[in-house]
Amino acid sequence: MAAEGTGHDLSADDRALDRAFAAGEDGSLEALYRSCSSLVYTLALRALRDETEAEDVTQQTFVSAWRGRDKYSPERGPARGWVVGIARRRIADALDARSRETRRLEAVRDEPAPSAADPLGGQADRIVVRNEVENLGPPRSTIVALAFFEAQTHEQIAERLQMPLGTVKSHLRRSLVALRRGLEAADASL
Amino acid sequence: MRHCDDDTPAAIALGEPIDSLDAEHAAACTDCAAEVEAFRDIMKRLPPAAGEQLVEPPKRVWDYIEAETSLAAGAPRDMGGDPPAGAAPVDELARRRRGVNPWLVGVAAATAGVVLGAVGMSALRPGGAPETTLVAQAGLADLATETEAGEARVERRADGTEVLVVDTSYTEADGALEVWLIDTEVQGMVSLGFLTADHGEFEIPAGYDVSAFPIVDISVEPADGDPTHSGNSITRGILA
Repeated sequence: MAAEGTGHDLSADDRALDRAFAAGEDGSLEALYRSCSSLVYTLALRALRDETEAEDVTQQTFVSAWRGRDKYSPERGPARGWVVGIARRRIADALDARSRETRRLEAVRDEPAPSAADPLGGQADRIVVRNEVENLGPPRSTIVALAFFEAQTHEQIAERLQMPLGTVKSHLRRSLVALRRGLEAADASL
Repeated sequence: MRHCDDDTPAAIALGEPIDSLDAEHAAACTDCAAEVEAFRDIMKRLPPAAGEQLVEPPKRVWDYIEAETSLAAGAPRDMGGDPPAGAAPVDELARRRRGVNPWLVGVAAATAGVVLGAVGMSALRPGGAPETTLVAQAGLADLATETEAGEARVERRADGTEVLVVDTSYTEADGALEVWLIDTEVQGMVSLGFLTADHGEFEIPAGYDVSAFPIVDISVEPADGDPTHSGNSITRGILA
């Protein structure tokens, strides 16, 4: 098994944030919001297809997360994954409420309401992955995007970013390590 | 036995040349091979995400969260003037109810089933002097079953105060039941309190006119300390 390595700058930041959040420190909710509000909002928006409902779910999710932070333990994984779990329950609740209304009104819709159990299917995973890539921050988010979204070779990336090839490769390795940790947390909530 | 350092499985997954000792080890060690597989799985998950664009929520979402959470922490907060006694902070509700659009449809549907009240009818004391005046009433419909769920009346007492009287078949077993009056635009609402029995009487805060807040709504509220409407209404009716 890989030993605890050095240079885990981003993971170390995450862990510091997780502990600060669990302790209810000032500013920790805002930091957590910065790291995953777009993820929560995008998941809600894609599932509910309604901006005001997605805003409401996002608000409820972070308010609940803050008020329920004593139920969160950093040992069980990053707070970000925990927040996504709350968001998914809120989205399911919103879809349930909507389908109750739909049944009540016997409204005919152009398309069937998405199922609350798995409203997004594979799209949720893609959104989560995208958020983890964004969270890598520059230059790693750019390097990963070029390598995996645009299928550029490491040499092309090095040339385009005017960066030594070894640095590109090193960033990619570190990115995979960071993505793995972030995705483990997110997967636990999916 | 010396395992690969944590960079090496990622390097192998990326197809980079590695130290021959590491390569031998990784090929033979199930732990390190599993690490390599885990990184390969992530690499497979990356390309499909290319087409997804994350959308940032509007700034007001954070503003709301900040206001709600600083309130919970007991920080002093400008409530924007004193709300009528018994009213939940309307500014918070005003923001929240934007998310409950289904209500608008629900309200429209409920309107069709309105039980028209005989406005101004008096309830007489045995002595003959009017004690209360019926101002308005509404039949309540269960939103899940669409069956009758009781009724609500607004009565004006001799001292001029108005009371919402609710009679339903709901019990506390249905959850913590909070009674609300909501305006016709579903743009404002006021909590009157919790219904703890099949009969409940709630004084309507001064300044609230039931003709402007004619929707009676009963919601199931989780015990989460959140003073706003849960969005989970079980019954509704329109006062007329």
